Amino acid sequence: MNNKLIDSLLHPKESYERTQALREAINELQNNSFSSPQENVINFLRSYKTEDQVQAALVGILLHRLDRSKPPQIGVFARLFPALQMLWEPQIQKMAIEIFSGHSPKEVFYELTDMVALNEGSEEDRYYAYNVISTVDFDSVPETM
Amino acid sequence: MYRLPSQKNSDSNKEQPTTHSLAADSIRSPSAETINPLQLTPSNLFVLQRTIGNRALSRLLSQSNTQPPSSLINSNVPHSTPTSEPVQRIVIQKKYDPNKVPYKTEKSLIDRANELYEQREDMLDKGDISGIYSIGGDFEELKEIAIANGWLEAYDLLIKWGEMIPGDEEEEQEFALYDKVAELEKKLKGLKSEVSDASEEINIIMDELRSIEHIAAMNGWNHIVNYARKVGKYTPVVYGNPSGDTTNSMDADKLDEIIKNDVPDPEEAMGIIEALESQASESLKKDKDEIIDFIKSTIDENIELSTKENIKIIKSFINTYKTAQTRKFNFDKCLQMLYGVLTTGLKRRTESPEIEVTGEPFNPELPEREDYTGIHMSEIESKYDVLARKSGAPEKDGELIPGAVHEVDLAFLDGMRGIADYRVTLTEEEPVLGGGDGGGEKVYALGHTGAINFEGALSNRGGERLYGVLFPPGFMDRYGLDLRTKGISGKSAQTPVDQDFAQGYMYDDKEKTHRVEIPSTKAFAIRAEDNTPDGQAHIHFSRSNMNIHGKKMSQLEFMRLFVIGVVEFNMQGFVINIKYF
Repeated sequence: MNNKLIDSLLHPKESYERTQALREAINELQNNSFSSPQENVINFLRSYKTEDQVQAALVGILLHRLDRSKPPQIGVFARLFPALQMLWEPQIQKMAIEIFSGHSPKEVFYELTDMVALNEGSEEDRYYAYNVISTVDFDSVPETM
Repeated sequence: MYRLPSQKNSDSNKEQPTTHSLAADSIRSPSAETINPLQLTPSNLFVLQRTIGNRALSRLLSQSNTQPPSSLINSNVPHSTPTSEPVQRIVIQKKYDPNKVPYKTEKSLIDRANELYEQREDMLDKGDISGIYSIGGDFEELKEIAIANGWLEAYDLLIKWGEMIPGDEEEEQEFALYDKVAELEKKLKGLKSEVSDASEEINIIMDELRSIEHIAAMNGWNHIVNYARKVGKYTPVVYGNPSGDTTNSMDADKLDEIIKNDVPDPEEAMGIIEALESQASESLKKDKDEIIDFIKSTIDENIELSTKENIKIIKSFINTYKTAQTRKFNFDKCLQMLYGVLTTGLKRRTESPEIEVTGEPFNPELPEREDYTGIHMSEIESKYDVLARKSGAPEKDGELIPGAVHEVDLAFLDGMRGIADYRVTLTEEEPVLGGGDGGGEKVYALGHTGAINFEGALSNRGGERLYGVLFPPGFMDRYGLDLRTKGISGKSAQTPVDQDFAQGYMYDDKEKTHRVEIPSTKAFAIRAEDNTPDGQAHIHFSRSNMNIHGKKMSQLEFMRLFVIGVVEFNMQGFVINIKYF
């Protein structure tokens, strides 16, 4: 990951610049699957909190890919949940659906609610879990994908 | 449609320096770019014939040297660089003197065309062709203005005077459609002044207008869409991107209603409280009454749903109750979960530092509301402060997103008041709403020229439309934090985060050597980029913890509070639609 990309990710002049950097980081990770981003970038991805659903989804995808073969973690689901309906970002939506594959959105929603209500999981994951349960309508969440 | 490179920003050539605007000083005129020597290829010949006329072209060809005059080669217009002098006031640069806006009417445009024609003939008579490129560009620009305003007589004259190839098939269809609306308008007026049993004919005309509007929408001829709507006086329709041959559309008021209703139902929340109270006797929890009191008071405080945070608290409350019910949790577990979720919601509300805005509240005198359709934006900017944006058709990776509604249409909805924080996709069922940009920022240019000249990839990918949000005059100066020249290099400083606003200063460099003060009288940042030397205002959708003159609100709510109206304008800066809120 080059310095310009890292700078755009960690110290963007505008929010849009960070979104672009996140997209680039996904491409880079995809094209160069054996290299991991630097520690400061990984730390940033884990600790970054945003209500921007596109940025959140991009971070979720990156965190999942960094975990390599592991099944998606609840924090990844929390960041990606709004992307399931993201018609205006078809690529992100497609990746979110792939990561959710085999999981019930309703069951994930239950888990996210438990995290917030019972103070479970990491602070960052709870941040995104609250974003989901405070913006999505429970009745509109499907049982299956 | 071909545009000369110099036309992209052709108006910049006419600009007069205004008052002490340092950012304006840094504008690079388009003509400051190096002009490459002219090569007369067949396609260049066509372009030249079209823009400078046959007589000038034949003179050019007859010269052994086919290069343009040396004065045009490698010419650079001097420009000054930004200085570090302090800026006292935010001045939005005007392209024209507002009192002398050119081409307010078809006649003024024809006069200008005549003037140009005479100038060109005079030049050719004298054998000096150094200015014909610029005249050719001016003709082209006038023609586009004539098209945008539906000035048929002027258009015909320009084709003739400019010795241009008459418009292509698409242009002709556009004009024919515009003409048809004008004809229907006349017919409608005639019918209304005649007998009263003309309703059947009126209905036929209305159907025709709708069909014209539909064709115009498919082709992106928004001035015709708006003209047809104006004549038909029917409820505006919001269009989504076409899906195949189908144009998705829906009544704008209905969409507005759906967006406004995208909030939790207060009655549902109150019903849950009643249910909790009635079941309280079943609970074994010692502190159940305290918890229920806490829940009641929290819901009471937020039930008005006046802020985004209120909405989130109520929605998470309802969702959690439903979750517990569906999973058949007992009363105590349900109570514990509701308590946990509400506690988190309240904590979140105060998690980001409070940004307090102080000073004398702004009570501007508002200009009279006028219909500016067909008038140049510079006229509006002499009355209002304008934040403007260029936005492309909603697409991703080169494909239009079927059913996606254009940002400009969203900005015109009552619920959005010029600042669209939703994305909407029309589907066969209910529209899909999303807050894709929910936590990001929306950046608006100060003044229409910044939006027209904006070169960002997302705004220039096709289907571009321009709109401006009207604020009271002086609003930007009163609440905007001018960072246009406050950066470490004398350029614009970066965007301050919540913490910076709250503490009253920021650093523009990682080493923290360049401190920038943020007075507590300011509520949003105004930066500058190469495309927006006059400035760009940043609205952060997640900046929710603000206290403005003693009232809690988000930055978005604050901005909307002052929005007076919204206008759509074309690439020449003429208003094609206006709405006041």
